[in-house]
Amino acid sequence: MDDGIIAWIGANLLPFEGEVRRWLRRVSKSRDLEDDIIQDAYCRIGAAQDLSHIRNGRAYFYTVLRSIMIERFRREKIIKFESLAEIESLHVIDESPSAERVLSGQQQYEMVCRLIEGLPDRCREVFTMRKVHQLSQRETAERLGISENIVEKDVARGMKLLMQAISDLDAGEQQEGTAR
Amino acid sequence: MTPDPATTIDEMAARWLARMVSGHASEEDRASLTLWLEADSRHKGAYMRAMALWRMLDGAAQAPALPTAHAVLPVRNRVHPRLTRRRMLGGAGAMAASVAGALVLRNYLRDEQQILQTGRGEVREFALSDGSHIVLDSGSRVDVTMRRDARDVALVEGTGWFHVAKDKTRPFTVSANGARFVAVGTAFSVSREGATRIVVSEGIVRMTAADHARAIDLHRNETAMIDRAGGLKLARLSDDAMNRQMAWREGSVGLDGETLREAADSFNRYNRTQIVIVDPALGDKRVIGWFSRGDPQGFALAAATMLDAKVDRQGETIRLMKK
Repeated sequence: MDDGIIAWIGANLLPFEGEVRRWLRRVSKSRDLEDDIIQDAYCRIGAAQDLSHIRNGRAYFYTVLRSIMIERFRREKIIKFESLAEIESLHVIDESPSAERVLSGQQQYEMVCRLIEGLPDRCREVFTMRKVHQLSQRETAERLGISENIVEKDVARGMKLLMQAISDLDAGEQQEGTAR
Repeated sequence: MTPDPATTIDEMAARWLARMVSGHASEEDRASLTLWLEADSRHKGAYMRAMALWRMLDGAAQAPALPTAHAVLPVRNRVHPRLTRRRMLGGAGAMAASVAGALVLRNYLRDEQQILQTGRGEVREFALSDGSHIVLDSGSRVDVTMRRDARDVALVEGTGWFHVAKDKTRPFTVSANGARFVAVGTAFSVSREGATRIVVSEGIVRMTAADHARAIDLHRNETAMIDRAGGLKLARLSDDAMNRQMAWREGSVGLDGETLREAADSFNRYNRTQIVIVDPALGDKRVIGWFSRGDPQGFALAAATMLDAKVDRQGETIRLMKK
């Protein structure tokens, strides 16, 4: 999987996932379905060849979700009138000027720091070594005086917590909160 | 990695990611990860998401660059004002202010480490906490480590120009391809596009090439090139030649007898639009002139006129060929 695409997803889609999920929850009314659809979206976007021409990640996210939902509704033949109407209303969402939202470098930096700060104690130390200091697993283990196996377990535990945190994130608030 | 039934897809993705970034992933791990990914498109999506998140967290290593107008905007099609001492000091002040208001996380830092990088078509100035400045050319990356007794910069990719704040107690070292360049208070550029090249614009830089035991002092307007085989060439540049060497900082390319191939490479590193030289013989011809780096089309047309060639553009590809 292409590193450029992975970096692009991290910078342009993840910050808006919380917002996108709230919309999705209104439409689908099921947490399982919501996870399915989000995973499906990342899977499709991850298979893309080149995303560098897409300026508005948030709008792109909605566009991909819309096509996934329409496909699902067709396949499952459970067409709820209000859901389709909501999906159609997405055209309005991603064409409005306020949809031109991208986090600034400062906002991304603060968001990432806040995510790491929110982790429980040793997890936070491990992520600080790995991500702030950019240390390897071995170096992290040496500095913290723990085994590499524990570092790996903490990375897995922390990632699970962060994957949860990102799905509740509100990048819009983040922007307003840090706007000068 | 066998999950108990209550394990969620996200949990599995998190465990796989932790294994893959551990530095100890075996062939067997890779094979079972592939199996897991192929089993269900949701697995792929969850793993992609986990990787994107892991990657996004690297942002914590890099305090944001200065929000000065010329630092944030790509310089494509725009003349980049010369960097003045005053602007640099202003930049350092802004950096200090943003650091003061920054997050608790920074307090964990003993050695301050940063990754600075630029994308294609982007030239950007970064201020370091010691008052030094780095201007990175398009598609470049440096890893900066500030220690109590040393300032270490690894040029990982591309070209950088370094204006070093004087601090005798902490030598400022740029390393690239095994060569080391040490400065106390000076300005110089280092690039590793093919050969490793250094150009000194102020002061003195002490160079140690990878295979050369003896250090060499380089003075203002001097340049050294270390080719892939370790061969070393030293030269003194005229002021004109110096300006051409530093032109990238202003979004320009100054050519004085470079081959068309070298010139095209330089445009291609900077732009999405790619110049392709169809006839190899054409690539060896020499070109002269000042060009805007964001305008490969303009360069191709000028080069075609110079070399009696023709240009054919299709979408993002400009082909240069014999008439």
